[in-house]
Amino acid sequence: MVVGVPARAQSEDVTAVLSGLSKADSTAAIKRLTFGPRPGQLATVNKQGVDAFVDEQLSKTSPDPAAESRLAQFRLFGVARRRDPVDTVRAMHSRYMDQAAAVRMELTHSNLLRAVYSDHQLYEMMCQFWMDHFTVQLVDVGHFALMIPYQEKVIRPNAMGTFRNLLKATAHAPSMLQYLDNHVSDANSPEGVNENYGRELLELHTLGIHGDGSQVYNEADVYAASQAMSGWTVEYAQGNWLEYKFLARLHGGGPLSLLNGQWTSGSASGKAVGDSMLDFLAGHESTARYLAAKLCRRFVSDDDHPALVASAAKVYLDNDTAIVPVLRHIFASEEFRQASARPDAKVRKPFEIMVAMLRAAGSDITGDPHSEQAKELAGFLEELNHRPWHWPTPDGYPDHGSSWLTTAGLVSRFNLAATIAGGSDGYSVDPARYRIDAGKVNGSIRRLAKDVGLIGLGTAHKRVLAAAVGLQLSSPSSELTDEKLTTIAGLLFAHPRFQTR
Amino acid sequence: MSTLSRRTFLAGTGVGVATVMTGLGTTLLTSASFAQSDRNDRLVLVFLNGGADGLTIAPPYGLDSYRKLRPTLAVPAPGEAHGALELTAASSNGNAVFPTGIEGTIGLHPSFKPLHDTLWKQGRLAVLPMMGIPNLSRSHFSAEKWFHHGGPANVRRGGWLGRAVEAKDVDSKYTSTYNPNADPMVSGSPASVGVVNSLDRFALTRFNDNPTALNALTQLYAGTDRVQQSGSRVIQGIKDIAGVDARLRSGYPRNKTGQALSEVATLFSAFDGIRIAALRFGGWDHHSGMGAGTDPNGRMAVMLSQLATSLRAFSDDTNGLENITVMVVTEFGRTINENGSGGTDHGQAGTYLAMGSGVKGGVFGHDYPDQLVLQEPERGDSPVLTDFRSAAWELMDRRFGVEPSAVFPDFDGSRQLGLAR
Repeated sequence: MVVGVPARAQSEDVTAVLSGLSKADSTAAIKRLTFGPRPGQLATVNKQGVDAFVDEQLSKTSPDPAAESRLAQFRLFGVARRRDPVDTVRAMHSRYMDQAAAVRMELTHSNLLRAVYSDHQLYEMMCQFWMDHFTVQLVDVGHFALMIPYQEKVIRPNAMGTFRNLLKATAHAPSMLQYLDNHVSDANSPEGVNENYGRELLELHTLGIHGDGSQVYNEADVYAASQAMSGWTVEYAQGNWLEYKFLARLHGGGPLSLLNGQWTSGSASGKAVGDSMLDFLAGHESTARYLAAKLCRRFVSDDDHPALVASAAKVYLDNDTAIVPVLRHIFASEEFRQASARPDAKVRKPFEIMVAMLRAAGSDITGDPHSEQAKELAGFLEELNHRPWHWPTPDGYPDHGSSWLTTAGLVSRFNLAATIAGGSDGYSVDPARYRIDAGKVNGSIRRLAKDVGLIGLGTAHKRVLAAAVGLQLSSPSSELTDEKLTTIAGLLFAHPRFQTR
Repeated sequence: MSTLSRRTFLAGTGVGVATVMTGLGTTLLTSASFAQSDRNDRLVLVFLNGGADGLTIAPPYGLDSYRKLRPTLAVPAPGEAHGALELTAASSNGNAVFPTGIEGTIGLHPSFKPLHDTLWKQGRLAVLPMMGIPNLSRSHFSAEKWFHHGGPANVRRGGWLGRAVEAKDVDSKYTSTYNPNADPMVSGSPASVGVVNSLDRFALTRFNDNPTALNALTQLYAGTDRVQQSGSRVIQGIKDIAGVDARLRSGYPRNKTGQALSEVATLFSAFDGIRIAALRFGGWDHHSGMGAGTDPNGRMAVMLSQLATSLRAFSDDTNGLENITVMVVTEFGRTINENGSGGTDHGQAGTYLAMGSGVKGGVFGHDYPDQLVLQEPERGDSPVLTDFRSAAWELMDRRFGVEPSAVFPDFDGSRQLGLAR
């Protein structure tokens, strides 16, 4: 007998179409805006109404306190969060080699715990989005530990705020300055500025190169941007902890201009030149289009959506770079609705599919980031090539399905499906939930499919699943042993529809 | 506890094999699309990760400076105890060629005897000293990234081996694209590239009844959208690979290098469509305890011996690398002078090797000074005289049947080394 599930939720015919949207729409919305449903969640959303669900997600613009409380055992996060006494930070740094693996574990596990447990699912999706947009490769930063404040204080507090603030925060972040070599950029050296950051700032962070290959800036603009940002560097402070520092002797000075004089440094000097330029870049029309296109690719489909990009870009500019209005605009669009109905419009990236499995299985994930279970999960992500902060290039993990529908990637997904479904480390599905007293295998599979978000699974496929464990749809549900149920769950996790969101 | 993570950790300790195929599945099992012609060699790239010391692989024993700067690490001259193997026309039965003045000044580490006895004498082993990449960062990460992508301009175009497969215009129904899930050398291009990580991993290993699960997945993936199509190809691939005997082939040493090369031989013999294998062996970052040049049991000597015996087994298994070109590469070489810990530090040029029926025997490179290592620097690196892309360019063009400018668009490969047959 199922325990803890309201009788209503067990019924197949919970029809809550409060907003006039079908159940299929709410399934699509929940899959698109979240890391996937938890058992019973589809029914809840159907009752709530999909519009209310979307509104609620858009209103959750900060971390979910309940999920955050699961990070209590994160020792290094505590250090980075509390601005601990100098001694602690120094100890952390001096034992850097010992701590490197620990930092990586805490970073990876923090992302997993939050994605699995946070009810602020869209917020967590946006955190992942910006972690790619402003990616920094962990192993390319001198001090791994710098990545903790980068994630906690730069990316996350700004994930659903304004792009302007987010951009400025990353520009001041020691991790970013190191990753893209701005910390060694010396405009007054014989070699001149290092253009690495200036180039990516224009190409990847702001103005962008658009889908049709067009761009509004040229090499002279890259040089000017690099000049403007020269002097933005890092210094050792507080016991070898690296902090942002503006060093005038590295700065090139002006006058500088971008895009044929659309921006000039004017009377600004020193650090104010960079501040002024970042303001300009955040509010530029090309930045608006570039970000709108990326958000459409993230939430609508891999295809181009020129009309939606144009209107979303306008919303971005009209709202002074605020992110939430742009998302709201996209979710309300006809393009979003149409693409949501297509089964293969968005392929789940490996991190997303693993979290989707853990959510669907109702897994119990440890709060100890240094436990064997945490290491195992991090190992899965490494095998799937999608461990947070490990992408090697400044463009972030790709968001095109074609990047992930690869031979080795799919094999790994299939094996992960069976592992999570039947794992013995606390993340197995609960077989008792799917053995229905006096019920048939058909009903068990239907409930399981619904829990994992595969609503409307056809009879032919249900028959395949039953046959895979030597049963028929009309067989008694009681014949579904734990092993048979976890096998079926594994095949559902490996199902083509589960690969997409 | 799952075994998935254990395999990950195994890979993380420095061994990985990624085999690139241009096709997979039944179409290829029955395929006769690859005639044995000059431009259809298979390529095996062996990456020695960590910065393997080129002056131990190919010791320039003829130089006074070598022994002076490496008082303990220098490998003795041929004829001395544990001396270098001669790289001369005579030792190759007249099958080797040399730049002027090089013959008799440089040898091969004695651990390479299994290859010196065979491929070198057959004129199928090319030694490429002072080769590398024009990235002087001395950073593993930066140099590796440079190497894998064939230069910073290509980072977003993916790995150069993946591009090579993509550029090889083959009649294949295989259309999977861009692969971040594999070794960076083979990943990243929008290519018709399929990748097998290893025989062990390219399988359903986690379902209780794998054949039944595979059968179920076959039915679940019947359909025409992009997910179903990609999945169907992979499922067919798993079925094909499942029919392959993954056991260590006879003659291969029981170590990671032997195992990986045995798998490559197995895949090559089973699948005509598999044209490139990329292998990575770690542990070459010998800052200390490299082992005395006179010590056959020194750390690097033992590692080179594992490499050489494995390559010898692979060569014996493939009729002396008939229509196979093997390249042995590393991200950078090491400092000329030894440090105080019996090792060497990050430097510039390394020594690469190329072998197989498609290469000429001998020593090859651009711009050699009168002698291999110029002057006697108090401290320093051997500069990169030959960009590795020169060798790769020629092999792409002459042996692999790929337009090299499609692989290295920002490199001028017109200056040939004369390495390829």
